[in-house]
Amino acid sequence: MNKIKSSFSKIKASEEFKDKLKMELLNNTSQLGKKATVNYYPFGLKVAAVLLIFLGTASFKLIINNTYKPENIDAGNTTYVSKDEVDKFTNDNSISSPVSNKNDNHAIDNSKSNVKAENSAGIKNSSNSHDNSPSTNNKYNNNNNSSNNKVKYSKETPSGNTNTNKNIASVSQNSDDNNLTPSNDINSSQYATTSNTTNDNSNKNGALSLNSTLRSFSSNAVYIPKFQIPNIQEKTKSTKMVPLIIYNGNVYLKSPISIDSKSSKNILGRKIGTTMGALNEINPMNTYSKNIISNIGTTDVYAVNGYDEDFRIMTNVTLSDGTNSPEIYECLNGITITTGNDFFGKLNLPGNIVNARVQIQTFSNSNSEKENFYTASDLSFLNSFVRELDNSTPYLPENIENSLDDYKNNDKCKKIFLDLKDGSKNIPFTILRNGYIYYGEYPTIYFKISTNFINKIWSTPSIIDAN
Amino acid sequence: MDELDNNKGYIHYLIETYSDMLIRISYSYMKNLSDAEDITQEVFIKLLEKQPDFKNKTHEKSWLIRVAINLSKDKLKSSYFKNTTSLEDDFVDTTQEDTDVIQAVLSLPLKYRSIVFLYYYENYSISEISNILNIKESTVGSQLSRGRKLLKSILKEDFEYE
Repeated sequence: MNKIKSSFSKIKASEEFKDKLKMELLNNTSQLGKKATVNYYPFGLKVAAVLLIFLGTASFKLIINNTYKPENIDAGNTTYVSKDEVDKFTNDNSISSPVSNKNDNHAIDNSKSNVKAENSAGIKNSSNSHDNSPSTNNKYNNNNNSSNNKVKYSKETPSGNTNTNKNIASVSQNSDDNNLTPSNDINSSQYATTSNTTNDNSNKNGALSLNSTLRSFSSNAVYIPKFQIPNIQEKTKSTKMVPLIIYNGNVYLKSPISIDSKSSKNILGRKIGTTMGALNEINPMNTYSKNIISNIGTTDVYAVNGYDEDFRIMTNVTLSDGTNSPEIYECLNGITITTGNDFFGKLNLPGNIVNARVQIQTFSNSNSEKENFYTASDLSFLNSFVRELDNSTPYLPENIENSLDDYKNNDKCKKIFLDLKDGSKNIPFTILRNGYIYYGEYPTIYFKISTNFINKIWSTPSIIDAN
Repeated sequence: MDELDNNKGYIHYLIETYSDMLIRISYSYMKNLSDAEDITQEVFIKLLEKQPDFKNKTHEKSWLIRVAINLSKDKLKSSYFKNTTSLEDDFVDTTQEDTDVIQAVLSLPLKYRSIVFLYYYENYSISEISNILNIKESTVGSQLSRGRKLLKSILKEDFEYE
């Protein structure tokens, strides 16, 4: 197979082509810049005009109709969704979820609830809340420059402080912008993007992308933003969606973990509901009216016994031969991590590992398509591995990846796959020689483990390397 | 001025880092250099237009590969391409042996070609190819295996199969 490599290496871009390409791209860049400049000014004018109309309308309504009466507004319970709307969506039988439909109703049609908000308070409101996660904390803040009244907007904290049943836009006359935590800020910006997409009913050909920006709020705490469905401006329409389920506002991505048919019966939890499979690249937003949505087709979704529902759910399709075909979905985004335990604790590893396999793949192995796995059966090694995971420190990829170089070889990286008592198999970890580890098929966040442990792995081949 | 310099630097970096790779990938689809060059150029233009946020270099590279593959497929499907024939066979400077290997890879069905190329030339793992092409790992594995068998049968004794 080396011949393929050497033969194809002869196919190169010629210097002449590269020069032409440079010129072409530079011209192209300047044209793009001109377009942006030309469009910028009218767009600014449009925004200013809309704002003026908005402020004028709001003031006019307040003065003329005198509809805004603070005593009519209950900060905890007021909803701007009419009973008709609530009934309409409550009666929707397509989802059999126990989760409060009241919350969903607000998410179902933001534009409708916004209209209600506008009518009730006389202040145009562009609610950002489409997420009905139990971890929603309703801090609503909006300083309206044109009046003394303040409509508060929904924001979510990743820390999980909850006020679940008051998820629909509430109104208060007291606001304190200084109370916003950094996490609120993150979600605010994140939600702005998502909300824009949600409210845009045009047929946008969007696709899913991971917002890769991980931000830290303290020395160790790291917040992994939620997956979001980008709008068309995010230029991701050429990519395809990864398999996912959105439930309770959490985005669960397909896990690389495998479970056999027999084990699936043991871990199959309560039925959460049935997904609507209408989420796709063509119109990714058209199913936000449902509590469980996915891009994997219509299928039943279940909890996973022994695991937090906010972290792991599963599907379980029974095939014609009677066997089950389970798939695990995990939500490891929209969470704040301070230590490795916050992340790896969800996996229920301590005391549950029955087998560990280490993949030793040299370039030669790779080249000949050999995948060599060696069993790591040393119990003390496995226990210390789990301890190291729990005590590890999270790091942002953007902060360390430059220093990692290319680590895809056996000298610099080893892959460990764990099997658990409950039948979960191939739980993947990648350990880097320079002390970092990540979970899953690709790194969304790295964890630093102790140098001693790393040295132990690399200097004691007998632990994991049968060679 | 700084912005212009930054643009120049970025474009230089893109071309020097990725143009060879993109040429090869699109060549593996289009089977001729001029179309491959067109596609490479389109990929870079798309990148500059869309300016996606990449998590890291790996993400950037796989995005480029994905776009190159999509553009190549689009072009193959276009009626213009179907109704035209390339004038030149190729101006790639290779030995006869290299040409044989390249032609053998190019003679593979399309679905095997990109997988063989990504696996053996770009050194992507099966799971990485699965992510890039958005197909199941098991499918990648089986197609890789079939592609290899086909290659073996095409090249016969000339091919040093390991």
